[in-house]
Amino acid sequence: MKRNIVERLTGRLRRFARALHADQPPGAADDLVRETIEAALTARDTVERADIRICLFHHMIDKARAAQKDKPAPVAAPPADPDMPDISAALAGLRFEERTAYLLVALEEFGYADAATVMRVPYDVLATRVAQARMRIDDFFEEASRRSSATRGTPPGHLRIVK
Amino acid sequence: MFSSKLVSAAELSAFLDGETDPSRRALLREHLRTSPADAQRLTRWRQREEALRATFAPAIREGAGPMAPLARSLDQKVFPRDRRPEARVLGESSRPAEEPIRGAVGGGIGALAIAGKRQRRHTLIVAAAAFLAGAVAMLAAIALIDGASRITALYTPAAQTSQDSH
Repeated sequence: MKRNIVERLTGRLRRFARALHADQPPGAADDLVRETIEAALTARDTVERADIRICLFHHMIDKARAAQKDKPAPVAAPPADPDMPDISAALAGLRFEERTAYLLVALEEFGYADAATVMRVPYDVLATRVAQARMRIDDFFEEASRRSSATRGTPPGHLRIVK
Repeated sequence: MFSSKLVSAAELSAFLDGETDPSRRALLREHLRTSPADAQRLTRWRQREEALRATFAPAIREGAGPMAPLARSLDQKVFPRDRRPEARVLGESSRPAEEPIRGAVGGGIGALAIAGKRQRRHTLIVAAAAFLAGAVAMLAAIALIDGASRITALYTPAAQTSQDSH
């Protein structure tokens, strides 16, 4: 059945929105999904795109980017619980374009070519953003573990990464 | 053997996503065998991304939820009514006039691209069946024409000679 493709895609849109809005109150993600589908409903290009999935994610990122610009830049919030730094906090610390590229590839599992189409950037730019996001997340967890070991007064752990 | 300077973090990242140029793939595998630090980094990234997908998996299980009616209305727009995208190109009165007709084809391709493996298999079976039906019809037509020409040849000697000349 090719029916209800959008309906089945909506779960994925919601997942992506939650990860993208990791730093925002709950409810913001579903608002973004609603705006995305509404945009796709009124957009002329919706049915011209070869792939409705690419089209929907493109609309979502456009909407999220616009909302991002209206608001002050999010401060890279320290993890709520320094002992348990989680991926949401790491995502919140990323720049919007990096977070988006990373999530398209790592969460939504788009190939680079499709992810680049979604973001309307060249392939190499997309690849660079994904790599930068990964390194930044590494830095985040490294910093978090250093901070937690410092607060606990323990000597640097044997698993510390030495560059 | 390979200095880690030869393999950048960017290349490692692309390797994780299966986006490495085929000509570099063997070199990267060799590099990972000889550079435990980069091998560890790759494992760390992979595990982190598995955790990322696990963290946000509930959203997939929840599905469209309250957004289902809205999603269905977009479904109606992109894939109106019937299942066969080609059929929509031929005069569909329910489509708003300003929408380009070729868009419907694009949507159809999207539908095929999106469809899961099972649907793809289904589509393949339908395509194969259609192809076979076409082949059978063509053979039947050829046999019919052949038979007809043989019959006419029996009754018109002129046709017989003209056929022999070919």
